[in-house]
Amino acid sequence: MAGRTSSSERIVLLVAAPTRSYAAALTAAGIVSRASSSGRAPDPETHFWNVIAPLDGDLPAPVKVLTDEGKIVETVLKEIEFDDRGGGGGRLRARIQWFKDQVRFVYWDRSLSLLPVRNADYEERKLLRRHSVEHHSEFVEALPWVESAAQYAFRSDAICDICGHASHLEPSFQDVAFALPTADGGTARGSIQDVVRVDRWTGKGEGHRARLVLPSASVEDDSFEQAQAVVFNGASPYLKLEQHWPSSDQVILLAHHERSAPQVADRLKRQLVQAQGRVDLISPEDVPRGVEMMALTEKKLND
Amino acid sequence: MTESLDSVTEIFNSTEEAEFAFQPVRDADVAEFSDAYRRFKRRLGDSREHRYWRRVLRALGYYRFEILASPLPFDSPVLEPDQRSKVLQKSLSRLSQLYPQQCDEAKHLVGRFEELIARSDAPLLSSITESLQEREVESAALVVSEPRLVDGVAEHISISPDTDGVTVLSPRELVDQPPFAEMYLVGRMSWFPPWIARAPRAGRVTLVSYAGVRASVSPGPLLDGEQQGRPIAPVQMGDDGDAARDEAGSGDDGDLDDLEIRPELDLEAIADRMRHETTSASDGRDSDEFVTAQPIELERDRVVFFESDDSTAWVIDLDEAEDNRVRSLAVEAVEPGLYILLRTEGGGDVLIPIADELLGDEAERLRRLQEEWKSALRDYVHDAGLRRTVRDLREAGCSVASRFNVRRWTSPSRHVIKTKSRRDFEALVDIIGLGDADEDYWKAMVAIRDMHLRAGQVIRERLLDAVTHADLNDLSGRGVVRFELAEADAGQLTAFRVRSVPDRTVRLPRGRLREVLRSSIV
Repeated sequence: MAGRTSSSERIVLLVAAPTRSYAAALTAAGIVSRASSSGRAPDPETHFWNVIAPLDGDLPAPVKVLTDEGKIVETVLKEIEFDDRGGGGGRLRARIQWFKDQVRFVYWDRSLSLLPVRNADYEERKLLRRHSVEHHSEFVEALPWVESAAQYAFRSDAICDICGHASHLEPSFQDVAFALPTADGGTARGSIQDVVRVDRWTGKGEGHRARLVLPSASVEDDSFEQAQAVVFNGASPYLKLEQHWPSSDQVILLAHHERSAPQVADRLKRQLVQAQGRVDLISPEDVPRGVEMMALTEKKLND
Repeated sequence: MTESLDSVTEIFNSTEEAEFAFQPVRDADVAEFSDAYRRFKRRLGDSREHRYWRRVLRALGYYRFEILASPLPFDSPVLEPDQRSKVLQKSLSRLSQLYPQQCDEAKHLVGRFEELIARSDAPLLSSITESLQEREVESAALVVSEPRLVDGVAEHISISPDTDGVTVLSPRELVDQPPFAEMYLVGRMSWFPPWIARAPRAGRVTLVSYAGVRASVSPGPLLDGEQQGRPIAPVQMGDDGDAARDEAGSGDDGDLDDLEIRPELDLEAIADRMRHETTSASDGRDSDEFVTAQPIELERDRVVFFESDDSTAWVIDLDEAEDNRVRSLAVEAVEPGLYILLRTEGGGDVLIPIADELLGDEAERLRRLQEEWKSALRDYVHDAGLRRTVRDLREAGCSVASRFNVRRWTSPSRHVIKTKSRRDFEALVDIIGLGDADEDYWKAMVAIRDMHLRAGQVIRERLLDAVTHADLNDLSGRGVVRFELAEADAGQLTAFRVRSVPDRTVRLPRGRLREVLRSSIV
């Protein structure tokens, strides 16, 4: 879907299939893969000036640090300063609180290992927490857009929201092994969760690429930020929460036997009348029998 | 539920490869009976709405529908031939006096019915058995559109070795099963949910029905079809295909097919019966206790009524995650496919002991006060008569005084506690000579009422706990499941799948709300 629309349009795609099993996991994997592989990996300089330096006015600020040993430490950024030792005009560095009253420095060229944590109510003395992260994963590093598994697990990106019931979704994300070819001609095994990194099932302090939004969730407040795309796993989550993603691309996954499937289909058919147009994402001949698809483009509602 | 990847592959493969066949079965008696029924109904014209004819047509119509929708023998007890025959014979006994002009034709129709119920064979099942043998099918699904008939069909085929390997299912049960190699649907395609044809759970789907039933109606796609893969359209198979297609839906007199073979819910007949039973039992109650009620048609041939506008019901939604499936919902929001929880046994009986348990040491004193005012009012009615008591109460300021309410207040039932408003209660205790202590009585009755409400919650919590721990997948198939409480005699909830929510209301006695009733034979 990425790349099909202009910045003022979005795509709404409905897929009705004989079963919904694995559909949300595979769809989210596609969305995250596409967005991750088409986006440029940040370079340390850009990251430092765009993400770390702007914290300067709010210091001290909570941050997390990825250590060389593959640990994630949640701590506090005390100051951004010049290290003028060694001449040459000095180097910019971040001074961060470390354990046992120590400080540690992260120089600008290593700034990718430093990320701000959005936590307005943090307490400095409670913040020094250390979590482990899977810093080496053959499977994740076999993904063409991933250079470092530790960095992939460290960073967060609001690429995809998945709206559905955790108990329905978790097995397809976590329990089924997939294989990827590795550079040395072998294969590496991992799960869809390794690729999609849904926040609910990541380790403490680790980054995510997708968020799970339960149909019972309250997403009324203005601070709710839409991801680039949302996947609705079933008619009921769509009917309950659809309005909270007015500008994200939407994928609605239905099983034919769902009670409310006709209601959703009718709604989309009405939406099509108002929409910019209908798009053929894939050729009708490639749609398996028993699968029905409809995609439309429309103006983002709160653009 | 998440299937294994292999199962998902199987599901998609079966959909991809599915082919449809139509297997018409000819039976002269069925054709004659069905044709006689249809002609007679047409000839009755507007008279078919008369209570007498509604009763006759209901008995015959349900039987007709069920023999077309199931492969049961004509005399199967599941089809209730004896009960229906009794209803018909009773009606016929008055026919010549009431409707002499229709007498001969009605007797002819009932005669065809009697001939059918005397037969013990099952042509649809024989046809399925032959097909199984001919095609050397080892395992197949036999899908019956009416969940009420599934158990009966399963029991019947279990005694025959010819149907070993056949699993009898309702449409909803198919969802939880791996795909079958072969699937037999009985009756008419439109009686099954459209997804059965859109996403078939079998490599071959055979529709088995009596010749003349409109079999080849295919549901359209869920969306508009422009972006479909290959269209799904049932094909006529077998030697009889063309003939059957010619017969199906021709509109000739030989056609078995009415616009809707399944008889509609006869709400007026049900409401009439409830009003009659209630007024008979109460020797003429006042009409002010009648309320406007919203009917809800349930699976398994049941119906229930809720007070319109402000009622809520406990429902189970199988489309929700397990921890979120049970919830309270406004009756106006109830829709087909949800499961509605109704107390079907013992719930009322358990309330009093639980309420007394919650009242603790106070229970004895409070119950004594309750009995005192009721007993004093009984004495007053005994001396003054019912009519004068009502008049005296009204003059004293009891605005809700009526013959029905006075009867209710004087009943020994501990569920009747007080009037809604304090002013009415003060007037009541005043005329029976207890006015000096009206505050004590009022407070005592409020305490009892509060504990009754609490007891209701306790019962509900226990029932919901039972529901939560039950295997709700049982629900999906047969459209009904019972939940027992852990405590003996503590009540029973039954979850019924909602079949339809009629777009109309009826007037009913309040006491008959939420009572689960049989909808076909009334």
